[in-house]
Amino acid sequence: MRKRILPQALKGTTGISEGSVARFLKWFDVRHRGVGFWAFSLNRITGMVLVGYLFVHFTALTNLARGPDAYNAFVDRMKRPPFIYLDVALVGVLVFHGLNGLRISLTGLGVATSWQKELLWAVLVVGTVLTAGAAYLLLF
Amino acid sequence: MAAFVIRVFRFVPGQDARPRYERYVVEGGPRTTVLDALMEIKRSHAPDLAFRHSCHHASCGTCAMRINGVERLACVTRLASLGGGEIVVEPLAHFPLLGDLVVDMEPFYAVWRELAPPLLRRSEGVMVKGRWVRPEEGEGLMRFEDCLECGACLSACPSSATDARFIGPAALAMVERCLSEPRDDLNAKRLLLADTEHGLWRCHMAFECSEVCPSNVDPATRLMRLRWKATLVRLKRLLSLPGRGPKRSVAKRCRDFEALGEKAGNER
Repeated sequence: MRKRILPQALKGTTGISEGSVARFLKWFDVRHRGVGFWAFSLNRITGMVLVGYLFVHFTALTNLARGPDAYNAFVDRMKRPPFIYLDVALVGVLVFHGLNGLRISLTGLGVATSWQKELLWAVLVVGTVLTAGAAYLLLF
Repeated sequence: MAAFVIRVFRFVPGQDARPRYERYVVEGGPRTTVLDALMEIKRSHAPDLAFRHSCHHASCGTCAMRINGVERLACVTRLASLGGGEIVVEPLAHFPLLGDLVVDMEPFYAVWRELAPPLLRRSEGVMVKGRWVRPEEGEGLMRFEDCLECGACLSACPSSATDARFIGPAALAMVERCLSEPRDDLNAKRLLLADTEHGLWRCHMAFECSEVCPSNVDPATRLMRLRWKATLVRLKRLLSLPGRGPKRSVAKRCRDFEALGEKAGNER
């Protein structure tokens, strides 16, 4: 393996010499960054939340194995606060991730790349409206 | 260290009633330049003083001004070389004055472009909408010409943080520029090298490269265009259409790219 040349002065600024966790955390260091970077970070956070939710969902489904009464009781509990608020938040996460996915699919192929900021604002506006509608349906 | 007296022309059209000269005293040694003195004046005495500077080594010509009545580059004109007495610093003459020592260079460049275009070989032209044009007529190409190769894009890119082999926005934007303005026979190889995991597909579109670029090159847009071109080549290859680009085994391409990525990683 070839020896890596890394000037001492660059350590800590390039990220190359830092641990993998520190490098990973740079994804979320949005200080002094533009809105595109904020969208990038938020997309990763919402993606991880959705993956986490998938496992929670699978775990919740194991209640089916305990019989209909156990499952119905579990669902009733999920329909009440505070879990119902988590459902609203989950819709918000899902909507943002999905709409931003469309945004980066477009810009990622060179379509409307120079409009990426405006597209992000559109994602946020449409996402907020959809989440508010979902919140109304879930809570009222 | 010695004290030098600098008289600087001050006038902002539309803001000041009339031009004036302001006197500043600056400490300097035998190697202190006029540009050093102006920066010290701006730092310590007149934060609103306007002047241009860039490379600091007589390469860019940005700091051209009249010093003791003679046009010189402030970055390489030493205070000690100007003899005794006050040193008078004024903006270039015969240019529209923007403020203090800054003049409007655009008319100069416009004439330059009109009367002294660079020598253009046919092979250096670019086909745009069916006609050959000079590269500078293509705005996108010119923007990339402005790339200072400063590395700011790579530094700001979050994908670079977690992939030391990512060859980075500037290099990928350069590939796109080469594809847009073909001058040699290496573009097929360039595209093969860029169209990999550590190449153009490593970008996750934070657009921070374009955000921080000091020269407004907008590497993110170029990188996205490159993706589209690579996608078309892949689609054509998949559908066995003409113009699908050269075939090369995945293993060979990976070996090539490993060498390139290793080089990029090492040099970082």
